[in-house]
Amino acid sequence: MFTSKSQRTFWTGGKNRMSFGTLLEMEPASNTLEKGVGEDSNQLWETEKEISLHATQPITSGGWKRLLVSEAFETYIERSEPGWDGYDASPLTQDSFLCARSFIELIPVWAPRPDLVPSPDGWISFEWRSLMNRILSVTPENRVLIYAAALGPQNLHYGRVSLEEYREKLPSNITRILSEYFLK
Amino acid sequence: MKELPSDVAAEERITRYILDKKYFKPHKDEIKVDAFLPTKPKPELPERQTSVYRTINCEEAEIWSIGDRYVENREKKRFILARADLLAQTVYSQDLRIVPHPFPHPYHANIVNWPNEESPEQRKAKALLLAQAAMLIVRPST
Repeated sequence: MFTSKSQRTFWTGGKNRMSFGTLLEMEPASNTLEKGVGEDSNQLWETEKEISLHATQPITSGGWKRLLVSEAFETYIERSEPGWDGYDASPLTQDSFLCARSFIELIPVWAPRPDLVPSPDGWISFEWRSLMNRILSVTPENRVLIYAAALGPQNLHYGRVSLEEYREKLPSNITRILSEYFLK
Repeated sequence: MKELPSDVAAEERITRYILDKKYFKPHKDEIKVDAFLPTKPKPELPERQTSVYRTINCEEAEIWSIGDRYVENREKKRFILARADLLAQTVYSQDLRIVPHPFPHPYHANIVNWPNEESPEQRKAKALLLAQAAMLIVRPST
């Protein structure tokens, strides 16, 4: 019923579930239901249109977030074998992608776009840099957010935030670091 | 090949080969934090470590050649794209150690003494400072 723009194939993931990243890339295949007749067919057609509309809308008004979700998906797919870094890295999994996707939704729209970096532990990190060689690196893992930031000489911050503390929005200390040190 | 002392001197150059395109940004001279993070412990290797090479006595061509022969894996299409050079002193200043491990090459070593499993944020902070201090050298095109 749907085809991927980039792959033109179905991908259902390890748990036989289609990933959101793939869904974002999908558009309805032409003529799948249009030729049907009757109430059932019309209903299916409407559902198909709704899903397509939802999947192709930006997650928020920040357009780069949608691109970032696609990039996270690509990052995961390309590194789903152990040792992808040339050493002993753990494979990225569907969970890695889902944690990254949830984190992307929490990034404020005013924040600069981060770089996505695969972690040898099998997660996806988010890295911000500023012109002053300041660095903020955040890794959303299972139920916890790990972060570290170098903001100047002798100005190093690091810590972790549990999922319960950041389920709805980005932790305030990370938001503060982003706004004070990484806004252009 | 010159023999190196068993202790890695603070002024020695240490090289981390980079095989993933997301671990560096050539136009910005950036090395990403995760490029220095150690691998997960395994039953046969219970300590986290980051694999590096001691390249203090090496000419440029030899540094790339060591990477080609002992790190790159052409069968799996894992190619060396760049390297991160830093002084051993930078590693020591993070309370990390460099332990020579002359396999598969006499100049091979491991960065060890990473914070334990309870402290991933401390590992990240140390890797961040290594990445910040390291120098990116992109592999010249042949």
